[in-house]
Amino acid sequence: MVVTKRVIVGAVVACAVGGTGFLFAQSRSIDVETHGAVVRALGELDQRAAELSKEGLATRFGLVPNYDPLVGTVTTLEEDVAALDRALVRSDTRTDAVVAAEAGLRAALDARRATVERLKREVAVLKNSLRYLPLAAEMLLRDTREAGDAEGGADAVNAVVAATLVYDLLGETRLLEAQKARVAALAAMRDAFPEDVREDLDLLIHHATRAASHHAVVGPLVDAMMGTELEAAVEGVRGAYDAAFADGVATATRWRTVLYVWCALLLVVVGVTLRKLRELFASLERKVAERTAALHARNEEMALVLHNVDQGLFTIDRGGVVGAERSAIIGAWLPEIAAQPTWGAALAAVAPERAPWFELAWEAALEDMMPVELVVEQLADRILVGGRHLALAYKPILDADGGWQRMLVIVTDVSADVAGAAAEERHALQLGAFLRLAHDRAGYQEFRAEAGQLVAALAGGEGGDDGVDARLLHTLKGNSAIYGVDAVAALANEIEVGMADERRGLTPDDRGRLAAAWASYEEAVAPIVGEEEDATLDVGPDEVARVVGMLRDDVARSAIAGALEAWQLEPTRRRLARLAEQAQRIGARLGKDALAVTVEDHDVRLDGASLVPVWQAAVHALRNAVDHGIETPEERVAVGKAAAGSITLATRLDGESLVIEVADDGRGVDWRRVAERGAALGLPHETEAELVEIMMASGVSTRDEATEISGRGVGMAALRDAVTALGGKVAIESTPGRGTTQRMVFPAAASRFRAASAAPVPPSELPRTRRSERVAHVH
Amino acid sequence: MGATSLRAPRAALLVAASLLVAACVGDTGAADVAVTRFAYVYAPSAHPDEPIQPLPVGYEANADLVRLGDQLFHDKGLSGDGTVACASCHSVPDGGDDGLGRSTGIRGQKGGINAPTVLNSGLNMAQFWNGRAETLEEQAKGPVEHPKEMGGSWDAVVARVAADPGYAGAFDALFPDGVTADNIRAAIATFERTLITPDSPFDRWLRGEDGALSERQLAGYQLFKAAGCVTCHQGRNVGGNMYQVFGVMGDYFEDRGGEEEADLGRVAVTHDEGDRHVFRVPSLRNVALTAPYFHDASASSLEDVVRVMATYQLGRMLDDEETALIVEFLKSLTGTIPATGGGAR
Repeated sequence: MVVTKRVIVGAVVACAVGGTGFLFAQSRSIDVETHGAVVRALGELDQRAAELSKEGLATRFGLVPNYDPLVGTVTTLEEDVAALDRALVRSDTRTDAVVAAEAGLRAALDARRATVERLKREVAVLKNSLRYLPLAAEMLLRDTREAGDAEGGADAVNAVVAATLVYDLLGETRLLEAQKARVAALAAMRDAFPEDVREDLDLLIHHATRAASHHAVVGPLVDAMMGTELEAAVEGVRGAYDAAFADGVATATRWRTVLYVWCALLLVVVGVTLRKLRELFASLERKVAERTAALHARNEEMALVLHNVDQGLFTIDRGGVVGAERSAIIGAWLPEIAAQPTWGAALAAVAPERAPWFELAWEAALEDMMPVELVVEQLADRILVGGRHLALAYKPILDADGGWQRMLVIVTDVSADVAGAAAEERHALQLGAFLRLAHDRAGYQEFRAEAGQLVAALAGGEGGDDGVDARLLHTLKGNSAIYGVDAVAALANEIEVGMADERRGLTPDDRGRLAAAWASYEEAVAPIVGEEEDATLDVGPDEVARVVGMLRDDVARSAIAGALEAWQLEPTRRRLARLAEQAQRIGARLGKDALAVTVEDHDVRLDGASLVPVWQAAVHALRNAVDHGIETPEERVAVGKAAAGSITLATRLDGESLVIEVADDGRGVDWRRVAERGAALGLPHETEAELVEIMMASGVSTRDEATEISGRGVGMAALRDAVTALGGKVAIESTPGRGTTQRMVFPAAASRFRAASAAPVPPSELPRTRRSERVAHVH
Repeated sequence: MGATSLRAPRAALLVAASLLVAACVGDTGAADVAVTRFAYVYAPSAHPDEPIQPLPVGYEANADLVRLGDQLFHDKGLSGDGTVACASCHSVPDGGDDGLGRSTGIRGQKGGINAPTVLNSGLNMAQFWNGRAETLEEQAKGPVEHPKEMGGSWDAVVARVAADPGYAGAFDALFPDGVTADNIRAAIATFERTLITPDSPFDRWLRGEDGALSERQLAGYQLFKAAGCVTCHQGRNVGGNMYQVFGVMGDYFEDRGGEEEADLGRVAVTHDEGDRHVFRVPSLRNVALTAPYFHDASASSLEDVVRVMATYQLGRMLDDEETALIVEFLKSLTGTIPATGGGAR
């Protein structure tokens, strides 16, 4: 399509130029110079022809000494005709008529030349005779006189000579007759001449006759020489040429007119074309503008994308000069780039400690000795600018032969990653700290205390001399390693190496870094280790195992965090354990030694302070259980039970309700005595609930005598008051001979008291009295 | 594709441009003739009214072209078998001819006519006995291809000359079109035009040196004129500028005993019966050196020639003394033979 268009355009241009050329040539077909040459040649020919005639005549009458001029004139004539022919051939007006006229001229010239040749020949013969006649006559008459006389001979001879010469001179027929008569007369006198001269006489008569007859030959030749055939032929050529020339001029004029019209047309075409082109260009410009706008929009979009990714891009050349095109974010991240001549200089300004590293790697890169992949690996770096961690990656822009002239520098804000890594590190530190605490709390705390002192000594420069510092540092390093404080251990190691390498002591910078590293560790583990002893966490081994399991199983960090967070609540285990101790102590005091107290806390944790009154009141329930529930060993053995009584202390979450139970395997409540007591106190004593109410009433006791431990019936009332004050209820389940369970239920306790259980046990599955093999550690 | 699309407009432009150029420049028909330009240089005559005038004393010509013509003139390679040069029959030191009645061509063949002298041939109005060549260039065409003379061909001559680096270089230096038959003939003809024999005693007399002629020679000249010889043998070349019947006053050929082809004369050229036995009047310059005489070489001495001419051309008898005087005069027409550089190659 394009080709076709171009071919058409080419053809049109060719037509325009070619047509113009053709018309120009046509309009100039009359060449003035050539015309001049023709006219000149024709003029020369006229003149030459006239000269030839004149010379012919002069030759005839012996007015020229030789034929050279005549030959010269003929030669010149030939040359003139040739020149005319050349000029005519050159001119574009050599019509058929002109060619025919030229042929006529050539023929006329040839005829004239033949005439000239003939004239020369015949004039020579005539001249010979005429010239000889007087000489012959003189010799004849002399000889005649010597040989005797011839009467009238001399007169006759002279008369012949005279008549011949006169005739030759005047050429009149009358004179020819006269000459012929004289010759005849002389011939008649032949015998009158002496015999010796008769031959000479014959010769004279022969020449006279010859002269006379040759006059007739020469005469027409001279007439022919004087003829105008040649001039007429020249005139013929002139006429034909002039006509052709006039035609040519007319034609040229016509062509010129056509040329003018053509040129005007061309101008119009050019004008129209230019206008079309202008329109085309205008529309093109419009299109270009539209495209440019679209492109611009897209570029802006791209730029938007580019400027909104968390990466910044710019390029540097081998001189380190930063290219003008770069992500907008670069300006925000690394404003120094605009201020510095090179990337190296900018780097030196923002991250002086990394600049030497870059310079070194860059030098290596410029040497092109190493594979470029290695070079960019070396160049890659991380800097901290304006609180932002920036990762620098380099990517060579390779040219065709694998070399590079520019490097793309990819800057990535890795602050979040760094923060994440720091958080992770914190978690790891916390976990480590926790494990240490769990394993050897005292030892760990001792380490912390000692390390804190070491760091303080080192940071404060208390060592005083390098040796002390080094020992302190080494101890710190060793202890830190043992207790998994790797960052401090690594830093101490680094400083140690630096000191050894440079044979120096601690620098203020080293001291600062050590202090910061230790502070950072302390800060990280603070939530675990707590500020004081009280704040220490109480975590059971299976709780720990569960969290460890979660960590191993890659459970979501938030879940793990939740589990760990829960540890900050107070485990009920501790309270239960204390209650268990109290149960033991009560049992021992009441002679009910070797109580088997089981704690089933179900990992329930509570906001420590929230249920303090309940826990205090729970002691009454415990006393009830030990004092009233559990039989004496003799009684127990008698009814077939183990001598040692058994108490179970439990906490559990039943849905949203918190349940605290104190169960015993004693004799159970003597509901009959409770009813009697109720009756005695004037209280309703028919239903189980009424009976329980009686038991809770202040001053009711099933015991006959108040003991140190219980007996005044105040305990159960206090318990019920405390529980009720916190929105709970107290329930008593008792099976005579089998035991009693006192249950405190706090509906929605979980939300009200911030209760938590790592693994809440559904109530259905919860065994009423289950022997737990696990016994809480109580610290 | 790109090339094609470019070619069309470019070709069109070229065509158009050439048309324009052609239109502007026009036809340059006139060839450069400077190299072959030739002109004789004349000395003033002390006797301008005499029918005989002195030869030119010099010429203006391209020296390289003359040298080249000289070499070619003497080059036997121009003949069919490499045995005959122009100079073989027109030996310049020998009076411009070979002194033979019939020249010897290739393979010893005899020619049909007495070879005319090349000396002063540039002053003849036409060449050959019958004047069938108007110029020396045209004349040169004949003998090269004549089977009895040089028996070659112009194509062969051109090929041989072109193959010769010396010739080719010389031609290339002189002519834009290099070696061509026309250029070879132009060289030879130009050289031949230089073969003039000035400073003969008679020319010296004509130029005013009164003592150049002996009394007998002067008397012979007077008789030459009085007897009518000069009616034909006139001009600077003492002939060569007209045709004349051989046998104006008598039938020479019948008297000689029959007519041969060579005797036809100019009728062979013009086919005009009036031109039967008509020959170009030969120049009498150096005639003492060019025996034998006449086209049929029938006369071996100048005396014989004078007598034959008197009888058949002038129609009169000359006695021995008159004949001797004319012969004395004729000997005064011997000029200085030009030195030529060429030797037989």
